[in-house]
Amino acid sequence: MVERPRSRGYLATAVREVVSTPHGLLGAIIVGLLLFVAAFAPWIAPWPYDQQDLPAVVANGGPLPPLSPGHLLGTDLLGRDVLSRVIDGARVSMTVAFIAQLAVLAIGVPIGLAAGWRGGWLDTSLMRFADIIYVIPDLLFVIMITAAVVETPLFGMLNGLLVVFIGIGLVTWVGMARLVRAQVLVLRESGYVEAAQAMGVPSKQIVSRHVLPNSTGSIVIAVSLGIPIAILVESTLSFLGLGVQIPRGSWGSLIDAGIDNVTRAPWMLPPPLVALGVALLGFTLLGDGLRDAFDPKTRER
Amino acid sequence: MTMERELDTRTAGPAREAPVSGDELVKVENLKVYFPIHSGLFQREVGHVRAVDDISFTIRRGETFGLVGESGCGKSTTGRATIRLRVPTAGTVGFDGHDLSTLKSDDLRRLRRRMQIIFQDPYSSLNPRMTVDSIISEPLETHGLGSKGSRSGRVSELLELVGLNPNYANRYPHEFSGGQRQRIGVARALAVEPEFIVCDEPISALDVSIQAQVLNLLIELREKFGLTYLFIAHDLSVVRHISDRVAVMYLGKIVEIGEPDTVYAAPGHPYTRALLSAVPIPDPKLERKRRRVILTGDVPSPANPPTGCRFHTRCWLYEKLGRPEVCTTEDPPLRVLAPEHQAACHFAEESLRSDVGVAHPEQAPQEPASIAAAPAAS
Repeated sequence: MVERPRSRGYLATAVREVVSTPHGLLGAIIVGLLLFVAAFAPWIAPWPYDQQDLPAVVANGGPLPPLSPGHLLGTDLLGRDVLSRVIDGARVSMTVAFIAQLAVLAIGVPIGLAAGWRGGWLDTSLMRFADIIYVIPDLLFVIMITAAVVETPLFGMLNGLLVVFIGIGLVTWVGMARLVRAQVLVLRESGYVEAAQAMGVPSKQIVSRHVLPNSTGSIVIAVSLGIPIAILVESTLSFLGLGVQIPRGSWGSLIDAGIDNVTRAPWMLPPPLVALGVALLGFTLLGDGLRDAFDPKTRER
Repeated sequence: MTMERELDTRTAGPAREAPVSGDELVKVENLKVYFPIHSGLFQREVGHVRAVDDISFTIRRGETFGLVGESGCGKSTTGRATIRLRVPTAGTVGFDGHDLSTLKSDDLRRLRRRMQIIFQDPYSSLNPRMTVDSIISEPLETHGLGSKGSRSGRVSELLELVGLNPNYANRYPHEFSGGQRQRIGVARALAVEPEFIVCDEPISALDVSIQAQVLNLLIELREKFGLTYLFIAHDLSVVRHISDRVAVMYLGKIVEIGEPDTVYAAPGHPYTRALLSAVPIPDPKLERKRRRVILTGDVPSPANPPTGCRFHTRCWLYEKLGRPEVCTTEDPPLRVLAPEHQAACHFAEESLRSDVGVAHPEQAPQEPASIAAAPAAS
């Protein structure tokens, strides 16, 4: 048989385009580093996040300041290493970011597909329902959900993160569903979908082979731009004491602790703040880069 | 699994009769396609766009039936309704004796193998995420034709048939030019060996230099496989070149139908004459003998078409005849002017005598208008 040369696919091309722009590349590097740190946190961090270096604290007569031997960024009031806690916080934040987005995908994509493809009353009722959810402020809704289960065992699961995942998923699926629906409405009229219908390809297969793959661009963008929001929501919840539970610390609860102790140990505050800022920046840059790569219309040239 | 499906299509599918040239393959009767207009808070239906409004025609086996008209006259909708890509509001479409509207979805799916469509826009009609190989094998897979292994051979064969290098099979659509993409679309339509293909302006989106190539490919394939075409276009010369019979559409209606030589030499409908008068004739003598007429105003809204004859708001003959009342009150039916030639005009005889668009037949030799895009081949 003749050798048929392979060509580069759509996704591979898009990925190349992302890293070819300066902001996309920067975003990809930041996100890559964060993922690496999150994945290998226990090996990277000099101390376990909950271990108290009591002898040093006692010897010092208080929390260790930065650049102390063994504690590059100092310790908190209980003698726990600040750097290690921030590194472990990356793990918490990344987990929240990705799993919450999985929940968003799991709810939003099927609803968007169903509404857009079937149309009619199903579309109308699903979208009106989405509108109702959309009216409620995101953060308030997550706080409500979290507060509602705070007394039940559900709250304690996964260090309190399970509720955060579910909460973010239940609130932010609306944007995803709308996006997917809009994509379906456009693609439903496209020539290749019509061609597939003319061939007699079953609807299910048209959706899975033609509609969904051609929506992935938008979905990937929405996910990457949804991640910083999820991180922020989790941090806010933790800041308010509703998110991740002690002794685990997320960036939000570390910031909270930093503010509480800003007079006694001011060095506790900057590290989680900077980490949070850099993470948000990284994901936003990557999201922008992806949007440029997938949607040439918004690209500046 | 594959074997089972193959057997299934062979036994349970509508039997493929031996092709008899000349019998009716497609029969469209009183076809209407209306699109609802929704408006207001509760999306109430406030009216209809009458895209196709009560048209009938038949296409014989082996024939190429041309459909011309302005943008928005309903020709593409007609094409889609004949293969049931649009569900008609009223009327029937018969395909080789089967009424498409009464078929169960499984039977319709099997019948789809016998009718295909080629689209106008070669850019949107190919899925950008699929390789050429998977695009062309999709219909084969859907109808359970061939085994997984034999399909790539069939794809190569089809690519060669439409004049593309079979080594391109693993490439993506964006790596091809418009003309090449259109060839891929043709190969996809041919994959299931259909009898009837709706060509929905298959060359109008292409470069002029490529138009002739694709048109000739379509003609070549027609001869090779005895295909029946419904050829939709807005280019009169192209339609004349390829068609055995032509229908002219205006605002959802067929206003004239007949063999191209008759329709082009002696148009019975003032609209056809107006269209033809826009086509230049590369012969100064002939060009001087005819009169040109320029239609003024926009095409009226198909949501609210004019009463009586739909063309009377823009008709030069209506003005010339001093605005006869019948044109505004009565919708003219298609009348037989000559064997195989019908026009829907109350004053078709007046139109025949005119020299608008086409010189009067007594003075004019039977010289066809130039075929802009097609070389002399075929």
